[in-house]
Amino acid sequence: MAPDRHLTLLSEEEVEQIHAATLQVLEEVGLWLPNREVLEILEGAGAEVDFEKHVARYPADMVTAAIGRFPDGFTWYARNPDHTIRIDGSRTHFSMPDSALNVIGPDGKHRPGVPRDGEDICRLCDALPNMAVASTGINPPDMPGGLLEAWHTRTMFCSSSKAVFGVSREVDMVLEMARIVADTCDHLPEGVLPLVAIMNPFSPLYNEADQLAGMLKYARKGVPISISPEVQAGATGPATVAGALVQQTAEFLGHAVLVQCVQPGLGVIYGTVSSVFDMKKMILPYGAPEADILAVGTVQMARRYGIPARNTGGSSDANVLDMQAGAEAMMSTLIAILAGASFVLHGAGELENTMAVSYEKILLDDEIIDMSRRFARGLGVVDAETLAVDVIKQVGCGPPGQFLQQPHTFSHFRSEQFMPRLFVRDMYSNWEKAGRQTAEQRAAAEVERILATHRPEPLPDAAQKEIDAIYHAAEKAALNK
Amino acid sequence: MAVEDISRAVLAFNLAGVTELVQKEIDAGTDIDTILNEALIGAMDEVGKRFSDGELYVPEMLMAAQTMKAGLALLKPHLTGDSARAKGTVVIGTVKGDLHDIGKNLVAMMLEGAGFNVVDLGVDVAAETFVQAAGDNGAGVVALSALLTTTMPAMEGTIKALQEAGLTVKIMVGGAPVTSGFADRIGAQGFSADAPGAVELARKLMAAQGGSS
Ligand code: B12
Repeated sequence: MAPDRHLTLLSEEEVEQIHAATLQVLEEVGLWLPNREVLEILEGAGAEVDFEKHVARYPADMVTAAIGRFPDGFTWYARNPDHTIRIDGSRTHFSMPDSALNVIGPDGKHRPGVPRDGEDICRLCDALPNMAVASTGINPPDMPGGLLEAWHTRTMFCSSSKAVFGVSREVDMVLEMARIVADTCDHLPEGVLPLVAIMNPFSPLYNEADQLAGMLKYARKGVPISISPEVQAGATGPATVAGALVQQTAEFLGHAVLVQCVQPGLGVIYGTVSSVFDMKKMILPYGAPEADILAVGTVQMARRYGIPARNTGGSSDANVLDMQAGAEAMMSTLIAILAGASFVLHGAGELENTMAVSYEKILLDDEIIDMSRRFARGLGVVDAETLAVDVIKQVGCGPPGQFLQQPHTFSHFRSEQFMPRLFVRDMYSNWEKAGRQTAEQRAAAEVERILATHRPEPLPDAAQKEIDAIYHAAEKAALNK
Repeated sequence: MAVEDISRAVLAFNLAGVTELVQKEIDAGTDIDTILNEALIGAMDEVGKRFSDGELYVPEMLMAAQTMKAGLALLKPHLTGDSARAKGTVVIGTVKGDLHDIGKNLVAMMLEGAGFNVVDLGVDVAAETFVQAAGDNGAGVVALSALLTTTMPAMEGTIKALQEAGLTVKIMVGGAPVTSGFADRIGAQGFSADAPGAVELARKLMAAQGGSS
């Protein structure tokens, strides 16, 4: 979609109001960052730091200077060059949940996820055309920290050849696995790792020492960083959506400025996982329309800073695969694409307020992405050929005119039409004769087919062995704890 | 009846009204326990009921609790030892490694609203800190919160530490990934999926402790 056609909700003036309020928050309140090294870096770059209280306040010109160093995009390398993607606002790249507890498997049963699920979910991702970034979907419930991060990273690299993200903990281990993979690739520029790091600041306006330390490590290795605050409007941020957007933008910029101090020009993504806090059920609903407003606001602010954005998309608070799940998934997916987000995590297949991933829904959301992309493409090129006056003239008015046999139809219909793979378009009687298959049932059959047949491109043997060795060491360490 | 006026003021979130009315009753020599139980805690029970019925939302419930606490502050100097500790003490925190705190904060605020003495240890709390605080404060209940599958094992560790220290506290656990099955397995005495349920549970556990502690 042409950049000037992006969906916007904020006027240019409102974008500037949000920006001005953000600068004020950064200057007068600042961020609570309990990591001495981080505070020292920020002080060196002009922040006003209170080491005792762990608070850094950012003068406006310091923030403005850092914004000037943001690159407008970057390349997210995958080990398979065909799966390498550009993160620059030109296309919305999708992934799935990354840490659900439960799965709803092809048999429809709701149960705790096991490692095998993560490998299968990753293989689905590898097979599906609209999934661009690998993910295991789950945190297997009984897996201890340390092993968990090694498992995630190994699975993403081995059960898929698509782009991989770096988790926020055990960063040395992640960097080591990424280096092993990088050494097997000829298409990576010298010193570049096939990785983008995922970081979540805490609200209101803080972070923890370990995550900050990990962020420094990624930045020093030149790994681009996606920074996604998770404001719960009304609970860990203001109840007004505008106020939540201000706080979130301050949380993002506070971290992004730090990244620029460590590695000037490093790619950053302004992400959001924010929503309103549900004042009755006390959850953070990703299916809420306010989350979608924040998503659009995030993309607009990112564009103000000349950088790519991340949204959620496809996530639903429904506990089963029902109409609510479809409606919420469609809304956030379509909006992420229309607004022009570059990356979406949380995520195709997500249900149960981030706590579950459904195999079928991954496929159905993949189809929703197709539909949304088709919508976003709009009329496409408008010229004499597509305006079609010639063919309208040729067919003329009135019966027996029809277009089915026209060469114009023959040459355009495939590229003009969205062709459903799973959604049903059939007359009732035919559909009944064919076995009354719903979209969900068709998705389930497709899941089984893919899992039975799809084999991701393997890593070279030596690299696989090295990665396995790291994984087994983590397993041993976990056992000895 | 003035005691009812106090309740009504709590239910109307009228902080100034509550302090004024409570002071008037104290000055008039009304039985302190009556003001506490019938006016203040009675009002919070009604608030809890209206919340469960879906009439009130969280910020309204918390505003009512704040109003109630303003009244309670005036009563405190007059409370005899027994009624001061009548509801018992709950020590609460998120376990080691876990920094998710909104759920824990809500549970703590609602327990306070229900009249418990709450000692909030914050986030990322080591097992020894729970043991120390439970002992120091004579806690009847220890409440553990965890939101991560990787920090849930720290709940089990904390329970073991409390047992090894010979404390007879009851332990309740919660947080999004925690289930009642998990609670049973690690030897907790109670689990609740939400904050109102946590208050009910605390009442039950405290009663099992023999009321005050
Ligand atoms: C907001 C949030 C965050 C915020 C937390 C901010 C804060 N100040 O708390 C931030 C961004 C910091 C964050 C960080 C992380 N998070 Co987080 N987070 C959430 C989210 C979206 C909502 C949690 C929340 O506040 N809910 C609202 C409150 C009110 O609900 P609650 O905590 O469940 O509490 C209620 C009940 O459980 C109960 N209760 C709670 N405690 C207790 C205690 C007792 C005794 C009782 C009886 C009852 C009880 O009462 C409460 C009120 O009704 C959840 C998703 C989810 N569905 O839960 C993920 C989630 C918990 N996070 C998750 C993850 C993975 C992380 C990170 C590891 C991510 C990262 N990239 O680093 C870090 C870990 C940080 C750490 N060391 O703790 C995962 C956990 C997955 C898993 N399998 O373990 C979840 C489930 C999301 C997901 N599916 O991916 N997170």
